[in-house]
Amino acid sequence: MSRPVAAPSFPTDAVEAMLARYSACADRTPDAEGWEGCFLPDAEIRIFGPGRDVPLVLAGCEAIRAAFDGAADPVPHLHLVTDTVIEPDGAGLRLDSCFARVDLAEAGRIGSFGRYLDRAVPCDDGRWRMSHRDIRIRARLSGR
Amino acid sequence: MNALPPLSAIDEVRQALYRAVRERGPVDAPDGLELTANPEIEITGDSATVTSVRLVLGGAPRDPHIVSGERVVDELVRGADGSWTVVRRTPAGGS
Repeated sequence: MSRPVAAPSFPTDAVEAMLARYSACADRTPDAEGWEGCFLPDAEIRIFGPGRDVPLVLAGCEAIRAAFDGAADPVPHLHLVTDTVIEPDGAGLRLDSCFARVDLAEAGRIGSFGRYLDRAVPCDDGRWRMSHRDIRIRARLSGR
Repeated sequence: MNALPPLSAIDEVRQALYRAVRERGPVDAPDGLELTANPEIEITGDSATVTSVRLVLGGAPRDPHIVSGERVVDELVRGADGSWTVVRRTPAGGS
């Protein structure tokens, strides 16, 4: 007897899970899965922001890991990602999200905010990963 | 070629709202950013409402802070081409 098979759905949940994995890594959550769960091995991040005329480029997942995990950041924080606009792009997707970093030290405050512009692709393990991310920081606390 | 399945109706409404917010920008913080959180979506025929928390951030470039926040209701309608358009925003609990 044949069983009904659910029609495939648009991968919104899988993409949101990918964005959540990134936030967990960026927030240094103890049970974060690691950057390889977010990016392809040859992925690239470009960081634009206040006081930075030329983007900082991180080429490759290892460089991304070294840059984010190696930087001293004494302020515990949480990255919120919202309003993700999704556009099909060939076999992948283009994503345009808003983000805010909430610093939790003392009274707590917004540490920075801006946009993430991503390209994501499906992988063999069923997950989506980013091949590219532009981080466009619109505001950041002085001294950060 | 795009082999992805179509968006669900809920996702179509959500995407239409996010695009509208992005295109309009936060009127109370020109260099700021408007975040939409906790969206609850109800679709009835060709109408939809989204109840969400709207948080506006400002203070670019070096003093990021929360400018305002409120719970709002966005009303959307579906056109003949199937696309959704935001037609009204009101404070949640208001008229």
